[in-house]
Amino acid sequence: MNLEKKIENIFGNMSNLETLNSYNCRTLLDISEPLMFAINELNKYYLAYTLQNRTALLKNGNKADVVEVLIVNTSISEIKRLLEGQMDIRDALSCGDMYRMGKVGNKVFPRKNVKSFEEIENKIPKIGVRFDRELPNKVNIRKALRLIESEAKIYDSFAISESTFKEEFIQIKVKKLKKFENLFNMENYFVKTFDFRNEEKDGSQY
Amino acid sequence: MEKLQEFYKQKCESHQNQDLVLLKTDFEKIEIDTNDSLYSEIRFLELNNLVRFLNPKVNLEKQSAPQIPDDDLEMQDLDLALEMVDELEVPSEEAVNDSLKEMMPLYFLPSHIEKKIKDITCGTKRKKIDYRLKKILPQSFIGKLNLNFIQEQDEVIVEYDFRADHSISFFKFYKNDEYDECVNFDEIEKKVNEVKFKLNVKYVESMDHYFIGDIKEEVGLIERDEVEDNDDPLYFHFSLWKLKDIDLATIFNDFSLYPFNKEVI
Repeated sequence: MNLEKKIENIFGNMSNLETLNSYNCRTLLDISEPLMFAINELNKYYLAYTLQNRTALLKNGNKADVVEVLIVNTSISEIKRLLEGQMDIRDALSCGDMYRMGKVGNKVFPRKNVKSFEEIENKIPKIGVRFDRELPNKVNIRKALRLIESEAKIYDSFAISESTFKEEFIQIKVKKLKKFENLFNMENYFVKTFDFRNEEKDGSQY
Repeated sequence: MEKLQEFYKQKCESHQNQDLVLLKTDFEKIEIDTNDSLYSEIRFLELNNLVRFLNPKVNLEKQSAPQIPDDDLEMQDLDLALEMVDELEVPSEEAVNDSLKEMMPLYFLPSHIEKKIKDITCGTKRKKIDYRLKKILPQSFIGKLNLNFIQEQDEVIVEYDFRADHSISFFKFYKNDEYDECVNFDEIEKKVNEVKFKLNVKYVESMDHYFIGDIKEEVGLIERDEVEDNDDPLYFHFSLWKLKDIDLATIFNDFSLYPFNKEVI
């Protein structure tokens, strides 16, 4: 699932924590409704903040559900600083590449780069607002941070990143499978065939 | 403590695991660990000066208007669409007050049930709806949207670790380090407005209205969230599991609605 798809899912499942968590999207701030999320895709981390979430009644008797979300690149160390209350939410949301995505009615609009800070300035928390004792939150921030960090460790252990080519990744997997195979002394034809090809290609033996 | 033990014994059902009891709510049975020492001091049977935020997405009156058709949204640019909505929008601040009496029971639902209603009002779900919603949604709304429910199933039992997601959520605010709680409307209003002002959430409807009130004894079990932080917070979040036998009106009759006061900013 790419990042856009994950954001689309936020639009639809804003309050369904189980669904959000199932694709590595963690709610960070929830007072009346979830407001802020940390999203992780492979080795990349993003923060998402709700700029708008409302229903507008229109002149013609229709309504339009409006959701607008700000998305910002971040890193695991920034998330840690943010959640430990060492950094303003505002600063965390305005460093790195920023863009907005939105949904009006049932239509999802493509992402749009935030060209100037003024575009979002009046919709994000004020200076000095941090994850501290004064900010009400249904989310247990310590727990959220622990989960995000432990997920990051799992990714690190698999070394999944953009620079890792798919083939390389499969080979790592195969090596791991091979280890298991030896351990249990089981026959796995798929692994054997695959390994055979690799041996031919680079002459190495696993 | 004694009162809690009595509550577990008298108001809850026994469980095969001796540490647990089952609290029967309107929607399911919740496992409660009566020996969990982490929570023994932070469970209550009554509490005053609680704040409940109103989730406007469950306002069926407002939400049953048809969704803007995709044909009206041919533009590819988000800002053009938002501009169009701004131009066509009619004020609806009164929508909450106008339908308050009818909608009141829907504003005091557990989070997971609220979510299921939101799937209908803000999404496209019309079929295979959880049968438990049948008894809380007005018949006129069910007919209007032609909703179709799944067959009634066996009673749901919620595991202890997932209890918070199945509760009605409240907040309580404190003034200062001495933990003097905010006791009157002015004090609570000041705190709630402060939060909204600091977060700058002008366009998030779920922070437009809130209720303030008390929960009396016998209604159910209230549990405070545990605090892991070293700094004690100036607010607390609470979960309430309402007993099935208690009429929901017993709770919401003790709560009054307040709008977010823009003048305070």
